Amino acid sequence: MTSNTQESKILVVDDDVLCRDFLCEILRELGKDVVVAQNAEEAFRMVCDGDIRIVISDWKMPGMDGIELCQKIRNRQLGDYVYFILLTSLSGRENLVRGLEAGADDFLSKPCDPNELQVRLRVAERVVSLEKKGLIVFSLAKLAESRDPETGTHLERIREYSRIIAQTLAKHEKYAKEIDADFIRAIFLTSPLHDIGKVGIPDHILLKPGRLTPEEFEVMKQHVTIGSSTLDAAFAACPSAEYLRFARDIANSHHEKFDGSGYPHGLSGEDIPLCGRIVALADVYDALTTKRVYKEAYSHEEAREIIIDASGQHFDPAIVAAFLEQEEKFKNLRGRLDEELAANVGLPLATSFPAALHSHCH
Amino acid sequence: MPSIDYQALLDRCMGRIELMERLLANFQTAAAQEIADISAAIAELDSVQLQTHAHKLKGIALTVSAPSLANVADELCEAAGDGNRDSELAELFCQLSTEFESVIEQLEQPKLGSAHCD
Repeated sequence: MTSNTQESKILVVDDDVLCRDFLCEILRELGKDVVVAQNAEEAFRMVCDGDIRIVISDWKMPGMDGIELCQKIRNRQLGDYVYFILLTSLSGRENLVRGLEAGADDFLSKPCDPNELQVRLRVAERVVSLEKKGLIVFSLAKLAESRDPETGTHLERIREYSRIIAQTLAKHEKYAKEIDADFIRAIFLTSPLHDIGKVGIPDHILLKPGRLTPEEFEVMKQHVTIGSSTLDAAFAACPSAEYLRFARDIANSHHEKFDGSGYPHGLSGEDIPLCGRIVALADVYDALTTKRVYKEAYSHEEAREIIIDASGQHFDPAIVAAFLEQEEKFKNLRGRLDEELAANVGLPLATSFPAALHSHCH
Repeated sequence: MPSIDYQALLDRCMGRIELMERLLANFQTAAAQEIADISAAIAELDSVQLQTHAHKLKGIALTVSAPSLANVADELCEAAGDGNRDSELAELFCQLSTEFESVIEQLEQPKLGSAHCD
């Protein structure tokens, strides 16, 4: 888990070896974690694939130049914010305006002065730290779940299961275009928000230990539209936050079923957003393998059989296939997460954690 | 004005003499290549390549604190982009070559590693 004090990795982009090596040496001397790209195309791939939050890029490069690289990074819809510094020996107000219009956050003139570089990087770190959306999103999701004492590490498991399935599907040609590194990061980030609408469900229904009546179930189903309309409103207020649209799609569709018998809209097949189809399986698998007051936890093997039986009805067969391909990871995940959490909070494993969370939130 | 401002360069290398000397060694090779490419671009009347290589030479000259060389490279880059200054290109290239020779002469001076520390 990234701490607030951990500095961001810096990507240096310059086609000139001498300039690139000099900048890298200075950055490492300043204690920075540095990676390099020899051209803008390589840099863009690295930004999309990795956890780079700060880029220092030369302006003039063969092929894609620094301005085009900046624009391409800004046009990414689901990625985290990248602080972009243009490094150039170009001068003049016109060039400054051009760089800023392209989305650059700052400029450095060649030759680069280490003291100036250091203070500008502090600014970059401050900006990047403001955008800790992963932490914010997960905190909101945890808050929504906090009324239910039994969920434990449910959200942590959901996002891991969802990521595993997405990563597996990404290897197949059919999904290669839709599932890129940004999609995988987005599903990890936003799948915990799938049930955020439960905040609008009364306690006597949400926390009922027994089976819900048909009328109570109709109320419970409303958590889907409560969640999706909340996220929709947030997205409308901040249209550049594409991850909110992604979260809305998950909230809105994770109870749809592949054969059209789900809710709230009775969508079927690939009309159900892919992210919703993925989270649907993750959510059901977790529910089956988690102990509740009204049932024991099913074993992985039992859950597996239920999921296989529901392939094509409840679940997208391709997603069931991805789940089966990664069975071992699913089996091992719960234990690993419980151990990690216990290590973080100093508590004994498993059974005491939900109680501790319950008492913490009430 | 010396062709290379050693003190400024050492300051930017954060006092690391070995970094400074490594930069200067690499600079000689890189700058020689850029000058060869500039010469070819002028011969081929290729203003795009000329601008590219002149700009690159400016960048590496600034990196090693060779301001005069950087200025001439910048002038050459501007002239290459201005279609009305073709007649100046040959002269500017001469200045560039002369300035580069001055840089090399200074680099070949004895006590390279210590002269800048005074």
